[in-house]
Amino acid sequence: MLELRSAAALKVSMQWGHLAPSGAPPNELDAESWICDQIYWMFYGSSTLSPVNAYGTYTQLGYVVYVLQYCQSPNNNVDWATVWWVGDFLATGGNPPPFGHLGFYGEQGQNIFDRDIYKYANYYWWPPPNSWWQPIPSKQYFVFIWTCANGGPYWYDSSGNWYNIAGITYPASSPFYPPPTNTNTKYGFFDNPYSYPPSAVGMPLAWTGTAGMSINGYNSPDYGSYCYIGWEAVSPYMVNPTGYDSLQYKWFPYYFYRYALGLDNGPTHHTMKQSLDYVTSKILGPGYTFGNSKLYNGYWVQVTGDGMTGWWYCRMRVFGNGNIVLP
Amino acid sequence: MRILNKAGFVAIFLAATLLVQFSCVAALDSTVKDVMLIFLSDVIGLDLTKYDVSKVSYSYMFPPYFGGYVKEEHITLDLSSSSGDVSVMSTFVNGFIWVLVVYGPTNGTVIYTRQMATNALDEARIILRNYLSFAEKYGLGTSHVNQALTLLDKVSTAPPNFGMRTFNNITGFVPSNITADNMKLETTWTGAKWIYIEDAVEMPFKCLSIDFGGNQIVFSDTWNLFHVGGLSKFSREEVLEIAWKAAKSYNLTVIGEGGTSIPVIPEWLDVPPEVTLNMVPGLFHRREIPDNFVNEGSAVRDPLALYPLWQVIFYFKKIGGMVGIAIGVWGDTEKSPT
Repeated sequence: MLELRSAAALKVSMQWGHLAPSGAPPNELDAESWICDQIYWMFYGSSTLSPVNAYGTYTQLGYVVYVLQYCQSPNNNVDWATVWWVGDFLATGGNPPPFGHLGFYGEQGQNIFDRDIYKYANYYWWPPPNSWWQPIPSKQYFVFIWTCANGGPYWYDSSGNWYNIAGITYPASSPFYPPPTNTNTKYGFFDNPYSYPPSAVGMPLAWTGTAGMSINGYNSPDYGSYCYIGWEAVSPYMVNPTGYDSLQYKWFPYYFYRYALGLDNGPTHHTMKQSLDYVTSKILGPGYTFGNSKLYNGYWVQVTGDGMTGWWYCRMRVFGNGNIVLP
Repeated sequence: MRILNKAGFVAIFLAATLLVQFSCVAALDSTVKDVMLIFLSDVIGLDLTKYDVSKVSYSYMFPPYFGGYVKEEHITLDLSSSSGDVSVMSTFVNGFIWVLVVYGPTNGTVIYTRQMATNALDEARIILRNYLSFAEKYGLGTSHVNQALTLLDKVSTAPPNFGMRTFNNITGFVPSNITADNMKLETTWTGAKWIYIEDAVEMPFKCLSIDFGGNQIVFSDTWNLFHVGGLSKFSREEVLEIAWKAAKSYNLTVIGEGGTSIPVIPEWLDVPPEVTLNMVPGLFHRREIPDNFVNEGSAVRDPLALYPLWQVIFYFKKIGGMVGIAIGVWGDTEKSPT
């Protein structure tokens, strides 16, 4: 059963994730399950956040809605929540362009989309007789999403207008240099602002409920309460080799959270920015920080065999305030 | 429905057999916190008399990827002043600076004991000259620093307003690659990295680097932390042959519905494989929680020596989320691994 460790918990740490129904490389399921388990236990011993590992079977719309509403409920006194999500991305395609609504695969087709996250992470539904969606600022203050595409700015205004950029919003036929600059500056917008709650497009907006976060929360962090980390274009599988050494990408979140929670370095919890720098130097080698690595600056990845065939320019994006720490 | 899948690889690493002796380089007798403050003052040039040191966090470990006997120390601290707060994050390995990051204040300015240069080239020279004395004092070795300074003379300064954010808004470098003897200098718009090179093989783990990108200074010197454990006994062509044999014989599976493993036969693409030779620390694949990603076989490797680890990626027509297979081949074996 999915159960929060204590009904009295004020802070919640969720681990979610699910692969596409088929097609992942061998051991990816084990690696994703492993990292969620590791992160769960890191929080369990070192933080005021109560962890819940819902990777796999429990990652489905109903449970996500349940947890988000648990956090939003004025009756539960949740004042801070964080999310780690690893798995596969899917999109509805079509409107709104370039990808339609963006989302995650869930168990048995119970997929989760941005509009769902926005509604349940930023409102609380009072059941009848009230039958009212009460707007409550999102409690999801730190969100780390390791799926494809759920961390890019794909629009340039709040109406969903967008620049179509090779390698960013559609695949390039081959890599080119200098690489593309993503001139889109908005990571989300409301495609139906007049519905109630409004319908949001883009996971960073959906989780945080705020459209004004810095789009470079690493080098130019804002002063807000939220930080969202995700991938623009293609994210690597946890079992992919980093290419620099003998490590797989699963060690990136592993050391990131250990440092952020002060597990290897005294009791001090470190900022998201420091944790990104630490883990990058640990994974890629001496002299590297997140800011001078390929993760920040981007790199080309070739995708073959389906409608997205071509080359994508991929990077990890930090939105909001990279100076926040986990409580 | 359009689906953007991850580009994944299946990865296999092959084993090696070679006996080597461990070695341990030691430096820095003082505590890392003291040394770091001296570095910030004497090398970077911060005026520590104007700052209050706070939020000091220190820890150390003897991690498995350094064989369990090399000390890795982590320290972070804040420097507070009325001109703005500077924070510092660092990792020292055996006393050598694996990485040290000085984060500039979000609002305010950094207080120096000297005038900071207006361009990265001059600032890098100042830092390296200061570091010469520091490295000499603490037994970190200096010949590579002198060599680095010489190479720096061949680098140009980027034009003003070159478009990159840098620490204190200093002007960057013109990107370049310059090699002399066993050192290769790579400059990007914001940083310089001096990489050890031997027989045309680059070893980025054995490096000296300075970067001013973003609102931070990043410094690293592992030049004398690592030594070369051995070069590859195999040519690129031999490695390709070994890797191709392994790739073809690998029983590829994908995760299907319900987590079942489904055997699949890859349809190889007619694109050149990617071949990379990385010189990696001998035990870098050993982690706190063991996994079987790298097969080290019966080889005994020095954690502070660098060994050749080839990576070859063969691409196939996309199967689910997979686009290729990555084969690792240790290059230091006496015989071809099988």
